[in-house]
Amino acid sequence: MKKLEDIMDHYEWKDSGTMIPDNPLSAEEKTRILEKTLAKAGLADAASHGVQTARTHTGSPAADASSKTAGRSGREGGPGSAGSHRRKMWTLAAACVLVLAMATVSFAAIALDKNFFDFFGAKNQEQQEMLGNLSAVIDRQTTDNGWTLDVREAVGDGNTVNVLFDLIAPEGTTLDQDYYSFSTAFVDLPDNPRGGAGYYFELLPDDDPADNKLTMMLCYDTERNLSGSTMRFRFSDLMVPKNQEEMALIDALPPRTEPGTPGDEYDVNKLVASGNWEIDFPLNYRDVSAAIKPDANISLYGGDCKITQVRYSPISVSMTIKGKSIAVYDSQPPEIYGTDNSGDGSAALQPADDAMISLEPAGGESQGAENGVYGTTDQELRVTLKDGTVVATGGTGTSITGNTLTVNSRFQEIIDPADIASISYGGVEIPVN
Amino acid sequence: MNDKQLILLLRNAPSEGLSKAIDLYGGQVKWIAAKIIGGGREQDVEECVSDAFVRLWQNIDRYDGESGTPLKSYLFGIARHTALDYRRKNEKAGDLLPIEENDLEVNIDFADQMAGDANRRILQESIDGLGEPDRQIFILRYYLGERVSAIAERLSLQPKTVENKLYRGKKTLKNALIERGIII
Repeated sequence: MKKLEDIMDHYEWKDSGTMIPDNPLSAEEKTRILEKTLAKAGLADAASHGVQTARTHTGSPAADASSKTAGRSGREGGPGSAGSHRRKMWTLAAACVLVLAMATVSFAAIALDKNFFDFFGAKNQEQQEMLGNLSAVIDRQTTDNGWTLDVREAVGDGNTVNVLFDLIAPEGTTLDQDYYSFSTAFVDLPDNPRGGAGYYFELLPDDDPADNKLTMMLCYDTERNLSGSTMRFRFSDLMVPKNQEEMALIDALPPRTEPGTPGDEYDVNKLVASGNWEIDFPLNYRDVSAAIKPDANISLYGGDCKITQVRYSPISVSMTIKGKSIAVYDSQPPEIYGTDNSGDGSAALQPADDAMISLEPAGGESQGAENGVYGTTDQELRVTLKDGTVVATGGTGTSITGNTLTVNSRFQEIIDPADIASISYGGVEIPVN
Repeated sequence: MNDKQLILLLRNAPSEGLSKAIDLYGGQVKWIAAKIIGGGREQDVEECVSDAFVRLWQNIDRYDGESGTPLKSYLFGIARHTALDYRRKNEKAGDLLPIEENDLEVNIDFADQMAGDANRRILQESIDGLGEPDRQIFILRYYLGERVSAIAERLSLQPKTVENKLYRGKKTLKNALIERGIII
């Protein structure tokens, strides 16, 4: 960062009162500004009905996943590729203990798109209101080559966001395939670019397959703070998979000798619409996560660490752990993956996917993760409710920055935070509520 | 009403809290917005002011009262950032400062948590250590984008004196940042 005006964003002007004239707003100005403020914050109806805040607590079962799925895009800097996975993420900045605030806003004021209710499995109004409390209207569009990307709404917390958007074709175009993808689909946080994230897209069920609109949901997770941030979509070229006959033509081609282009004869996908859609939009929802600072001991990567923060909302949970052994672990490249296929008893050195499976050194004695340097006995974030139920999650993602490990997990159903009894990781249980 | 009371109000009765916050600080936030967005854009200024208060409410849990920073200063930082967004959206306005003046010739890392905390502390101490009226001139120009002539008139100085102090202030800041080990 080199520009002075950007650098000054980080300066705290503590005696500002001596330099800024104190000219109060006129009554008319104040009324106008207050009305705009309450409307933008989604508080307009609550204010007009005299409702300020309340706490609502319910739970509900999970919903089914959507039937059509779009291409799963990879990481920042990577073109649309199958699979979503997490990489290194930067830690959250938690300065103080936060208190759960579940401001109730009337359902009519939020009017959240029903796609969110279906996606998250909200089965009653209380659950819908919980989602509404996590939401913001975006309403930003960009058009290229006659196709419009319409970013509609977002639901999220500090580290997790779902963004609902449409891709609208020119009138008369039918979009009735089961599978669509973009040749490239990047999602960035331009105000806070440094850090990792995991994201994927879901193509949502289409009420009218003969229409000219695709509706998709971005599911994005990061250790950076999302609430209030700007998000940027950079998508190009809408594609569909080639059919069997078309794929057979690829098999008959000679090996590729030069880089190709999206939708060319070697591509397994074909071009539906050429275009580049780039758009910035604010994630102007309020982060209503609760947070506690347990300062609990945990043994991780062969050393003593501390669980410094746990955050949870109706849609996700995350934990921050600090310790020197984390930095040591992160500085060492992984040594061994997978099983020993060498045939001579030597330790396996076959690169595999990111997951650490087991170590099999010479002699065949197997070491599981629980006995090794890497990982712990329990590598899943577990959330237990007061009635003993263990909440289903979509897997645990981890990231390391220096001596800080962040783990986070999305719930597979909407959870009332007041129903949570404890959150555990690595055999350490943190009571909440 | 003190900061703690206003924060509680924003959390527990946000509509009332926002109304109170606008009562207390609306005029000053408007002044900051108008300074940065520029003249003849009253509608943008009002929209910016309301956006700033929305962001205050959205981020109230992130405000660290223990750090010694008054809530007002936190709000003014939000207002400044919001106004700069509005200014940049207006193609004619562009950056707050001319290119040559805007360049500190030093790259500073604020994105990484540990580096950012250290660099913010160094930045704060460097500017606060400038001495008066140099610090005041520096803030008026580089925080608020005030014109040199307006600063000179406000402080009863010659414009050339203000320019010299700004030049020396930038140089002092740059040297202080380097000497104190900014993390790039």
